[in-house]
Amino acid sequence: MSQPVITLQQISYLGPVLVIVLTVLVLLMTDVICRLRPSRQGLSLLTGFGVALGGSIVALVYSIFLWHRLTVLKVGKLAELFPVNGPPRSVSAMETSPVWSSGTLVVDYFAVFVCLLVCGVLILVCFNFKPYLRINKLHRSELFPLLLLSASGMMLLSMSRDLLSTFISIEIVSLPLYVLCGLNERSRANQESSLKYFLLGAFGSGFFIYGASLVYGAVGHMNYAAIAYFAKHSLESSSILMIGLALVGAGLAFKLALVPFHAWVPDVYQGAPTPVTAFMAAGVKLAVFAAALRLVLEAFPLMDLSFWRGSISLLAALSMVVGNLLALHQMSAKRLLAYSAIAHTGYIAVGLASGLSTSATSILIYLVGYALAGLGAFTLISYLAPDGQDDIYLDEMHELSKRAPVSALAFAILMLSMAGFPLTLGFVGKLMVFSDAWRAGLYGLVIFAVLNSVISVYYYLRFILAMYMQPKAPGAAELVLKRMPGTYILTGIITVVLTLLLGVIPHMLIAWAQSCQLAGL
Amino acid sequence: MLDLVWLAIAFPLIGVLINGLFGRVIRSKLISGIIGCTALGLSFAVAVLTWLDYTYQFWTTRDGPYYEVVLWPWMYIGNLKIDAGLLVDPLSIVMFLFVTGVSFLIHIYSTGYMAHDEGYSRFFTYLNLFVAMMLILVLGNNGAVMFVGWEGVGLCSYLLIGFWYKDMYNANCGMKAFVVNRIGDFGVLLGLFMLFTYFGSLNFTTIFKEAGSVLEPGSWIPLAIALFLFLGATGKSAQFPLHIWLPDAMAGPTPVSALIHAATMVTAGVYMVARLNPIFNASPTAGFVVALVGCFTAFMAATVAMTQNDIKKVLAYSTVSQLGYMFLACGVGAYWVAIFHVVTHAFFKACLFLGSGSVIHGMHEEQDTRYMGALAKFMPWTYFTFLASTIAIAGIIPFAGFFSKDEILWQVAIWQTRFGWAPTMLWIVAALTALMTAFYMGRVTWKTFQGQQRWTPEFVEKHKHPHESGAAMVMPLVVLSALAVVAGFLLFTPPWLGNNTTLKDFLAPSTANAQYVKTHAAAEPGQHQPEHELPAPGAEAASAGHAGEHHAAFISLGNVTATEIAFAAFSVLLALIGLLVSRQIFVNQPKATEAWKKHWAPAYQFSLNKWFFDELYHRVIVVPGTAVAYACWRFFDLRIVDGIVNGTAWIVGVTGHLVRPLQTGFVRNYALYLLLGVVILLIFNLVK
Amino acid sequence: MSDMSVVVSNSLFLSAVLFTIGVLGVMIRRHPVIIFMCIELMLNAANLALVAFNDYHYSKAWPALDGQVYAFMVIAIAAAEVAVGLAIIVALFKRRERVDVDEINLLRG
Repeated sequence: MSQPVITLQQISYLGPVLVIVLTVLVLLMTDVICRLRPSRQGLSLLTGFGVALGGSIVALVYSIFLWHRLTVLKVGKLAELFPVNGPPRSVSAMETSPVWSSGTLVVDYFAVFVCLLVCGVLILVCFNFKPYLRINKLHRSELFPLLLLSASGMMLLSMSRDLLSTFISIEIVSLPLYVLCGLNERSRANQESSLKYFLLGAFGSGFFIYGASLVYGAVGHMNYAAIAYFAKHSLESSSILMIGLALVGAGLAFKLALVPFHAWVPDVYQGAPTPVTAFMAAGVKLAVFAAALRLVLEAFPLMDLSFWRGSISLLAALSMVVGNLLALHQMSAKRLLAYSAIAHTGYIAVGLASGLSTSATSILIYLVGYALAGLGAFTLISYLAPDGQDDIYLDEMHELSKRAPVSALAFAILMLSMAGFPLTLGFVGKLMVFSDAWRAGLYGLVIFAVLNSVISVYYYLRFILAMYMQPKAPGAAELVLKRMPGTYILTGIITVVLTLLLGVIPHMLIAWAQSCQLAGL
Repeated sequence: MLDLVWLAIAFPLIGVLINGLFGRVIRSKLISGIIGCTALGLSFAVAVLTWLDYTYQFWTTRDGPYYEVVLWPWMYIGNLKIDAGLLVDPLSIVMFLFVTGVSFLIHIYSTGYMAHDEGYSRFFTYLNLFVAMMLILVLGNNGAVMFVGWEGVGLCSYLLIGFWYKDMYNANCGMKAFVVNRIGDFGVLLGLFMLFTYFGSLNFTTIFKEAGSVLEPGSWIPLAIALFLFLGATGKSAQFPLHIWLPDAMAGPTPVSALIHAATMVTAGVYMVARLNPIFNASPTAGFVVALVGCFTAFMAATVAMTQNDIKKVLAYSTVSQLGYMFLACGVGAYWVAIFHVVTHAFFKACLFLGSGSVIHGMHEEQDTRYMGALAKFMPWTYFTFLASTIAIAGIIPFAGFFSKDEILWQVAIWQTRFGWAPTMLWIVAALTALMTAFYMGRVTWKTFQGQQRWTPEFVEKHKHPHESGAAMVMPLVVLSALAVVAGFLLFTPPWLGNNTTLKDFLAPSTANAQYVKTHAAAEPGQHQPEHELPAPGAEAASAGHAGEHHAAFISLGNVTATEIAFAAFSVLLALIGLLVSRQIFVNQPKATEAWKKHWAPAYQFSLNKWFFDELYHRVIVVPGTAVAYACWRFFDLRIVDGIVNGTAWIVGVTGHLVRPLQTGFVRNYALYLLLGVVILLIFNLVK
Repeated sequence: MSDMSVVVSNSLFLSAVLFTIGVLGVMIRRHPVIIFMCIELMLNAANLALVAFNDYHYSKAWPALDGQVYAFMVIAIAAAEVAVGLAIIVALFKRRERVDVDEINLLRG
């Protein structure tokens, strides 16, 4: 499979990751230079922002280029390599089809698409950070290298087809995030969120790697293809493999925040700085679902269906119901969205449980919709948040439609998208994920999911009710509205316009995501 | 013109953009109103042109063609192919015409009604958005596009009910409407999933073509699809058990009640059932359920309407009741009759609501009929239009309501079904409902416009007497009441009365049933022929005598014409009785009833507050009816149905509170949950 | 070969015990540093298992040392985790005198 010497051409397939990592190095250097004099603190922030943004944009362009190159290189064989509704996947197909693969990483359309999305998220989060630092008087230019490192981990995560590299990528994603959550050392909430995330995250990784070692023990390899092969050819199911996969699943479920592995989410999302929360909601979810998809579609296809489908369905159902119920009575916008994030994980896991060849497409579309809505919503929250609070409570939003009509409208649209209202991207994603699951025969789960999304409408509407229909309570504090910083405006426009545009005419996005078959299929 | 149908949706949307974005800048109510009305006027013009164009082709070719206008490919995922497309066929054209027409009139009315409201441009924004969504619903060529409109009208209704949001009660009413509707939407979504699963497409034309081959008549699949869809229809069209939101929806401005909660949006459920009639045809049981629910709702709402004092509440329950009639027609397979009633109902009910708005306007925000009376003198235009519409809804020949309601009753009577007792039962209940309808509509009319003046002293002191509304409000009333008079016999008359079958012939390709396909043998290519026999429409009933072999029908098909005349005479008689009895009571003998009341009612203490009207017919007038009415309103409506819906919400809410303490904030507890999860996964994976 | 598998199975047993101790430690202890050490114990249990399994899979036909290489990678990751984790805990120390995870529950509900 892998060749002993890595050629330059092979390295170029890892381009987006390399660009990001190089940018991190540059950032560290410029940061040191800028900090030689304390008076240059402002400069170091600006440089950091500029370099990080530049690096992300280059990586984005590189990903597009890579996509193009994959298309050009493989155009003749695409049809037989990635049949959309082709014959069932087999191991032999898996060994011949990768676009580019070392033993542990694979660069296929799916991975490149995820890289592209990660770059997009990264750019928007960088936009968010610039005014955020200024408003909250934080001089922390080291956050940009941390952010980019985490993003590089996300890209690697989408490429890993091996338990160990998945583990390493998850750690690359998580370690910088632990620090980013505690960005403001003056804020107790930041500190608490950071410590909780770190302790529980490390605990989760412990399960993951122990499970991986058990899988290694059973199979003799950590490669997904090897696991699939083993599962097919070993006559009796090995209990060590089962235990190992259960523990690996637990580790992934922790990162995805499926109930009952979810408990960290609300505390961490609420306590972390808002742009970091946005990054976690949009980016981490995207990358870990990419990894989970690869695991399910590459390692599990030959296994007994009931093994993984049952447990994923169970966790999905639990996540939807617990997330929605807990979200109902929240007053803090960030905490409410954190619980809704748990519910969304549940909906996406419904798509994961269907495990069809089209699942990757549906889940990607859902994730794009969710990432856009989440990024936009958190941007607006950090704009509206009163000084020093870094969060907004629902009773502070009353009559917002009069005081900030455009922000209120944008927020309403994003909430409708999260609720899965037609003409928004959220609806497209839900429709695709649920109809996949219906085709896979998970009728009960789909009915349950639709019921749950009915419940969820209630708390999304609470926002709209607060902004449009509730008069200000007599004693309520007046919300001080500053001028909206330019980068917030930009993020808001991008997210809202894309949510609506892709909701009304999503066929281009779908066509694009549709070619994102995993190499192994 | 047919390929430019999308313009009808585009015009209101442009209106939304202008009024929504620049409403604050424009500041002039005149301009906002003109923009809103012009958008609708253009939309109506498109509808008329489309209709003319289509009719030309319809009459020249004599087979019902349909046109699909594909705007852009919307979602292509694997084998799921959804276009953003519009379908122009007789059914959608009928809906298209009356929706734009009535909306146009109501927009004009609103310029007068909302003249003193500060949220003027916001109102027209929402109203235009509503019409655009309604047209998407009606014109969509597949389930997904229809669902877009379905959700969109729900959202607009929510925004408009809570339009005067300063009052928390109004905002909550909006919320209630939305949440109840979402229960229905859940059904629609599942129905669409199932349609896609079995047809591989959501395109209506594909579904029509393949329904015969895909769905096995009488199996559980069409039954499940039909019931899921019907659940959605009960939500949108306020049928039992989801009817409770509609009376509360009256919290919105009156033009909204007229447009959304009487004429257009609430008929979306009927439209959907008629649109997807092959599915319902394939499952007789589903049709039976639809008929039963419709009939029961009609009866229950009519009984409740008899006891209400708020003029808008009476009309709201009356709407629920009339919608029940429409579903009854759908249930017995007479889809075109249902649509006929949708159209006539839109005219007279919109007129009634606008009339009530005019009354409320003239009485300076008084909605309680107990404090009205003798308004005819002061508001002649409003009175005569209201009266015309009342006669229409009561079903007096030759007003519009007579033709549609009588046809529904007739279709029920000749319904052939394997549920032998059903036609008889349903017919009796429906006829009783017709009597009650005439009674409560008479009551509200007489109480409002005739009898003594019962205005509040404050009102008299402040305003002396009510005033007639301005031209912008009267003109739509006149047009609508004229339509309420003539629409019936222009569109359809029974065979013994001229046999005008314009609407029936026009709609036949879309709502074809076996009989039509047989007699004309020129069905639209997109129509399937249901495998089982469907009831014969009235006109062809005589020639279809063989169809009743193994079915039981209420009447035997002997001398059809004589029977039909007898039936019609009976229903007109019922309507006359209702109207005259109510007039006798509420105009001529209020005193007598009072005296009588003093003798009997323990609740007479309240009669000083003019409660005696209610007490009167609680105890005397409709002896069996009052008990049921009171029980329905008091126990059934408030306790049981509200109880179930609120109870569900309550349970969800309380569970939400109960789970919250689990989120302790302690890291070690969280770690414990994590371990619990691992144990669950291990058990799940190892123990099979 | 037989004493080889005894070594393997003993190591696996030890690794399972270590892992369990680690998990229980996280549940029971209240000081973040101790909790963190327990997590390290879990990672080391995984390392031990990896090395032991490598022994079990090793053969003339397939002389791979994958498991041992994996163990090194896990060690590297653990080291990175230590660096980040201790920094977070030290930052916490700077703000409070006593550090007890049960006292850190500002965010809940």
